[in-house]
Amino acid sequence: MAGDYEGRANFAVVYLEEAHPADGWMTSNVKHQIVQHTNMEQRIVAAAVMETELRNIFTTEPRLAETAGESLVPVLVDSMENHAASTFGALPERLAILVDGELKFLGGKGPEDYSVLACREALDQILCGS
Amino acid sequence: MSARGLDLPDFWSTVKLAPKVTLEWLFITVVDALPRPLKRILLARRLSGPRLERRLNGRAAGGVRMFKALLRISHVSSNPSAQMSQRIPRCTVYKGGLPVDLSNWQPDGGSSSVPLVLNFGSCS
Repeated sequence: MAGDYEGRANFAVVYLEEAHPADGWMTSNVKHQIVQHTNMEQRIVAAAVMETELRNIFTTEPRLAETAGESLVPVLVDSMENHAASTFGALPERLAILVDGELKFLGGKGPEDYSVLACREALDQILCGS
Repeated sequence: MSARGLDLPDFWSTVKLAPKVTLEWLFITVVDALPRPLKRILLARRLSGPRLERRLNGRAAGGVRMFKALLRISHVSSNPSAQMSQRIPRCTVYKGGLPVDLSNWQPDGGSSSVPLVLNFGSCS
Protein backbone atom coordinates (compact mmCIF):
# COMPACT_ATOMS: atom_id res chain seq x y z
CA MET A 1 0.00 0.00 0.00
CA ALA A 2 2.86 2.37 0.85
CA GLY A 3 4.33 1.71 -2.59
CA ASP A 4 1.01 2.34 -4.33
CA TYR A 5 0.56 5.76 -2.71
CA GLU A 6 4.15 6.95 -2.71
CA GLY A 7 4.29 10.72 -3.11
CA ARG A 8 0.58 11.16 -2.33
CA ALA A 9 0.45 9.88 1.26
CA ASN A 10 2.91 9.17 4.01
CA PHE A 11 2.98 5.99 6.04
CA ALA A 12 4.30 5.06 9.46
CA VAL A 13 4.13 2.05 11.73
CA VAL A 14 3.53 2.78 15.40
CA TYR A 15 4.97 0.02 17.54
CA LEU A 16 2.79 -0.61 20.60
CA GLU A 17 3.21 -2.85 23.60
CA GLU A 18 3.20 -6.55 22.73
CA ALA A 19 -0.25 -8.08 22.23
CA HIS A 20 1.04 -11.54 23.13
CA PRO A 21 4.10 -11.11 25.30
CA ALA A 22 6.12 -14.14 26.31
CA ASP A 23 5.28 -13.43 29.94
CA GLY A 24 1.56 -12.89 29.35
CA TRP A 25 -1.14 -14.19 27.03
CA MET A 26 1.16 -16.13 24.74
CA THR A 27 -0.25 -17.83 21.66
CA SER A 28 1.39 -20.74 19.88
CA ASN A 29 1.86 -19.04 16.50
CA VAL A 30 3.83 -16.00 17.64
CA LYS A 31 7.00 -15.62 15.59
CA HIS A 32 8.95 -13.48 18.06
CA GLN A 33 8.85 -14.25 21.76
CA ILE A 34 9.17 -10.85 23.40
CA VAL A 35 8.64 -10.19 27.09
CA GLN A 36 6.44 -7.17 27.84
CA HIS A 37 8.63 -4.09 27.99
CA THR A 38 9.14 -2.47 31.35
CA ASN A 39 11.17 0.49 30.15
CA MET A 40 11.66 2.55 27.00
CA GLU A 41 15.00 0.94 26.13
CA GLN A 42 13.38 -2.51 26.00
CA ARG A 43 10.54 -1.15 23.88
CA ILE A 44 12.94 0.45 21.41
CA VAL A 45 14.90 -2.81 21.12
CA ALA A 46 11.65 -4.72 20.47
CA ALA A 47 10.59 -2.13 17.88
CA ALA A 48 13.87 -2.79 16.08
CA VAL A 49 12.66 -6.38 15.55
CA MET A 50 9.60 -5.00 13.78
CA GLU A 51 11.78 -2.65 11.75
CA THR A 52 13.86 -5.62 10.62
CA GLU A 53 10.71 -7.50 9.61
CA LEU A 54 9.57 -4.49 7.58
CA ARG A 55 12.94 -4.23 5.90
CA ASN A 56 12.72 -7.92 4.96
CA ILE A 57 9.32 -7.32 3.36
CA PHE A 58 10.68 -4.42 1.35
CA THR A 59 13.74 -6.28 0.15
CA THR A 60 11.74 -9.34 -0.92
CA GLU A 61 9.14 -7.23 -2.73
CA PRO A 62 10.82 -6.06 -5.98
CA ARG A 63 8.31 -3.27 -6.57
CA LEU A 64 9.13 -1.75 -3.18
CA ALA A 65 12.85 -2.36 -3.38
CA GLU A 66 12.89 -0.29 -6.56
CA THR A 67 11.36 2.68 -4.79
CA ALA A 68 12.44 4.17 -1.53
CA GLY A 69 12.64 0.80 0.24
CA GLU A 70 12.78 0.85 4.00
CA SER A 71 12.47 4.63 4.24
CA LEU A 72 8.89 4.36 2.90
CA VAL A 73 7.56 3.34 6.28
CA PRO A 74 9.36 4.63 9.36
CA VAL A 75 8.71 2.96 12.69
CA LEU A 76 7.59 5.12 15.60
CA VAL A 77 7.52 3.75 19.13
CA ASP A 78 4.68 4.32 21.56
CA SER A 79 5.57 5.89 24.89
CA MET A 80 5.69 3.79 28.05
CA GLU A 81 2.51 5.63 29.07
CA ASN A 82 1.01 4.11 25.90
CA HIS A 83 -0.19 7.48 24.58
CA ALA A 84 -0.77 6.20 21.04
CA ALA A 85 -2.61 3.06 22.14
CA SER A 86 -4.97 5.02 24.36
CA THR A 87 -5.46 7.97 21.98
CA PHE A 88 -6.47 5.71 19.08
CA GLY A 89 -7.81 2.72 21.04
CA ALA A 90 -5.23 0.91 19.01
CA LEU A 91 -4.57 -2.30 20.96
CA PRO A 92 -3.76 -4.81 19.58
CA GLU A 93 -3.73 -3.38 16.04
CA ARG A 94 -5.54 -0.71 14.11
CA LEU A 95 -5.23 1.63 11.13
CA ALA A 96 -5.78 5.38 11.15
CA ILE A 97 -5.36 8.31 8.79
CA LEU A 98 -4.47 11.85 9.90
CA VAL A 99 -4.56 15.00 7.78
CA ASP A 100 -3.25 18.20 9.35
CA GLY A 101 -3.39 16.42 12.70
CA GLU A 102 -7.10 15.69 12.26
CA LEU A 103 -8.39 12.15 12.46
CA LYS A 104 -9.94 11.35 9.08
CA PHE A 105 -10.20 7.59 9.39
CA LEU A 106 -10.10 5.15 12.28
CA GLY A 107 -10.19 1.55 11.18
CA GLY A 108 -11.80 -1.34 12.99
CA LYS A 109 -10.17 -3.04 15.93
CA GLY A 110 -7.85 -5.87 15.03
CA PRO A 111 -7.52 -8.65 14.42
CA GLU A 112 -11.11 -9.22 13.27
CA ASP A 113 -11.96 -5.77 11.95
CA TYR A 114 -8.51 -4.72 10.79
CA SER A 115 -9.04 -3.94 7.11
CA VAL A 116 -6.43 -2.64 4.69
CA LEU A 117 -9.17 -2.46 2.06
CA ALA A 118 -11.25 -0.09 4.21
CA CYS A 119 -8.15 2.04 4.78
CA ARG A 120 -7.44 2.17 1.05
CA GLU A 121 -11.00 3.26 0.33
CA ALA A 122 -10.81 5.97 2.97
CA LEU A 123 -7.46 7.18 1.65
CA ASP A 124 -8.80 7.29 -1.92
CA GLN A 125 -11.72 9.40 -0.74
CA ILE A 126 -9.43 11.76 1.15
CA LEU A 127 -7.14 12.14 -1.85
CA CYS A 128 -10.10 12.74 -4.21
CA GLY A 129 -11.48 15.40 -1.90
CA SER A 130 -8.24 17.31 -1.50
CA MET B 1 0.02 -4.62 37.03
CA SER B 2 2.48 -1.82 36.56
CA ALA B 3 1.71 1.90 36.54
CA ARG B 4 2.29 2.32 32.83
CA GLY B 5 -0.96 4.04 31.93
CA LEU B 6 -2.99 1.15 30.51
CA ASP B 7 -3.58 -1.02 33.52
CA LEU B 8 -6.65 -3.13 34.06
CA PRO B 9 -9.83 -1.05 34.13
CA ASP B 10 -11.43 -0.01 37.38
CA PHE B 11 -14.16 -2.05 39.05
CA TRP B 12 -17.17 -0.54 37.29
CA SER B 13 -15.53 -0.59 33.87
CA THR B 14 -14.68 -4.23 34.50
CA VAL B 15 -18.29 -5.00 35.40
CA LYS B 16 -19.46 -3.24 32.24
CA LEU B 17 -16.98 -5.02 29.96
CA ALA B 18 -17.12 -8.44 31.65
CA PRO B 19 -20.03 -9.97 29.66
CA LYS B 20 -18.50 -9.12 26.28
CA VAL B 21 -15.02 -10.21 27.37
CA THR B 22 -16.37 -13.45 28.85
CA LEU B 23 -18.09 -14.29 25.56
CA GLU B 24 -14.90 -13.58 23.65
CA TRP B 25 -12.89 -15.68 26.12
CA LEU B 26 -15.36 -18.55 25.72
CA PHE B 27 -15.32 -18.26 21.94
CA ILE B 28 -11.52 -18.45 21.73
CA THR B 29 -11.35 -21.30 24.24
CA VAL B 30 -14.07 -23.36 22.54
CA VAL B 31 -12.77 -22.75 19.02
CA ASP B 32 -9.33 -24.01 20.01
CA ALA B 33 -10.85 -27.32 21.11
CA LEU B 34 -12.83 -27.92 17.92
CA PRO B 35 -11.81 -30.06 14.94
CA ARG B 36 -10.08 -28.06 12.21
CA PRO B 37 -12.94 -28.01 9.64
CA LEU B 38 -15.39 -26.68 12.20
CA LYS B 39 -12.79 -24.26 13.50
CA ARG B 40 -12.33 -22.94 9.96
CA ILE B 41 -16.05 -22.34 9.51
CA LEU B 42 -16.31 -20.36 12.74
CA LEU B 43 -13.12 -18.35 12.26
CA ALA B 44 -13.82 -17.56 8.60
CA ARG B 45 -16.53 -15.20 9.80
CA ARG B 46 -13.87 -13.12 11.53
CA LEU B 47 -10.60 -13.68 9.68
CA SER B 48 -9.42 -14.31 6.16
CA GLY B 49 -6.27 -15.06 4.15
CA PRO B 50 -2.97 -15.56 5.96
CA ARG B 51 -4.50 -14.39 9.26
CA LEU B 52 -7.06 -17.19 9.13
CA GLU B 53 -4.42 -19.79 8.26
CA ARG B 54 -2.14 -18.60 11.07
CA ARG B 55 -4.98 -18.81 13.55
CA LEU B 56 -6.00 -22.26 12.31
CA ASN B 57 -2.46 -23.54 12.75
CA GLY B 58 -2.06 -22.19 16.25
CA ARG B 59 -3.66 -22.19 19.66
CA ALA B 60 -4.78 -18.95 21.26
CA ALA B 61 -6.59 -19.98 24.43
CA GLY B 62 -4.75 -18.85 27.51
CA GLY B 63 -6.91 -19.11 30.64
CA VAL B 64 -6.78 -16.31 33.17
CA ARG B 65 -3.98 -14.45 31.40
CA MET B 66 -6.09 -14.34 28.26
CA PHE B 67 -9.09 -13.04 30.18
CA LYS B 68 -7.03 -10.25 31.75
CA ALA B 69 -5.50 -9.33 28.40
CA LEU B 70 -8.90 -9.30 26.68
CA LEU B 71 -10.31 -7.12 29.43
CA ARG B 72 -7.50 -4.64 29.12
CA ILE B 73 -7.57 -4.58 25.32
CA SER B 74 -11.33 -4.12 25.34
CA HIS B 75 -11.03 -1.27 27.83
CA VAL B 76 -8.38 0.56 25.81
CA SER B 77 -9.97 -0.04 22.41
CA SER B 78 -13.41 1.10 23.44
CA ASN B 79 -12.25 4.47 24.76
CA PRO B 80 -10.11 6.22 22.15
CA SER B 81 -9.63 9.88 22.98
CA ALA B 82 -9.17 10.81 19.32
CA GLN B 83 -12.43 11.85 17.66
CA MET B 84 -13.27 11.74 13.98
CA SER B 85 -12.75 15.01 12.07
CA GLN B 86 -11.12 16.59 15.09
CA ARG B 87 -7.50 17.35 15.79
CA ILE B 88 -6.07 14.53 17.88
CA PRO B 89 -4.84 15.39 21.36
CA ARG B 90 -1.11 15.67 21.94
CA CYS B 91 0.25 12.16 21.52
CA THR B 92 3.86 11.42 22.39
CA VAL B 93 5.66 8.70 20.46
CA TYR B 94 9.36 8.16 19.86
CA LYS B 95 11.38 8.33 16.68
CA GLY B 96 15.03 7.41 16.89
CA GLY B 97 14.78 7.55 20.68
CA LEU B 98 13.49 11.15 20.68
CA PRO B 99 9.94 12.18 21.60
CA VAL B 100 7.72 13.59 18.87
CA ASP B 101 4.09 14.72 18.90
CA LEU B 102 2.11 12.56 16.51
CA SER B 103 -0.47 15.31 16.00
CA ASN B 104 1.99 17.38 13.98
CA TRP B 105 4.53 14.82 12.85
CA GLN B 106 5.32 13.86 9.26
CA PRO B 107 8.19 11.73 7.96
CA ASP B 108 11.14 13.97 7.09
CA GLY B 109 9.22 16.99 8.36
CA GLY B 110 7.01 17.10 5.25
CA SER B 111 3.73 18.97 4.79
CA SER B 112 1.04 18.08 7.30
CA SER B 113 -1.62 18.40 4.60
CA VAL B 114 -0.37 15.12 3.13
CA PRO B 115 -2.40 12.22 4.56
CA LEU B 116 -0.49 10.22 7.14
CA VAL B 117 -1.50 6.56 7.34
CA LEU B 118 -0.69 5.01 10.70
CA ASN B 119 -0.45 1.28 11.22
CA PHE B 120 -0.52 0.41 14.92
CA GLY B 121 0.68 -2.96 16.11
CA SER B 122 3.37 -5.09 17.66
CA CYS B 123 5.52 -8.07 16.73
CA SER B 124 2.95 -10.49 18.15
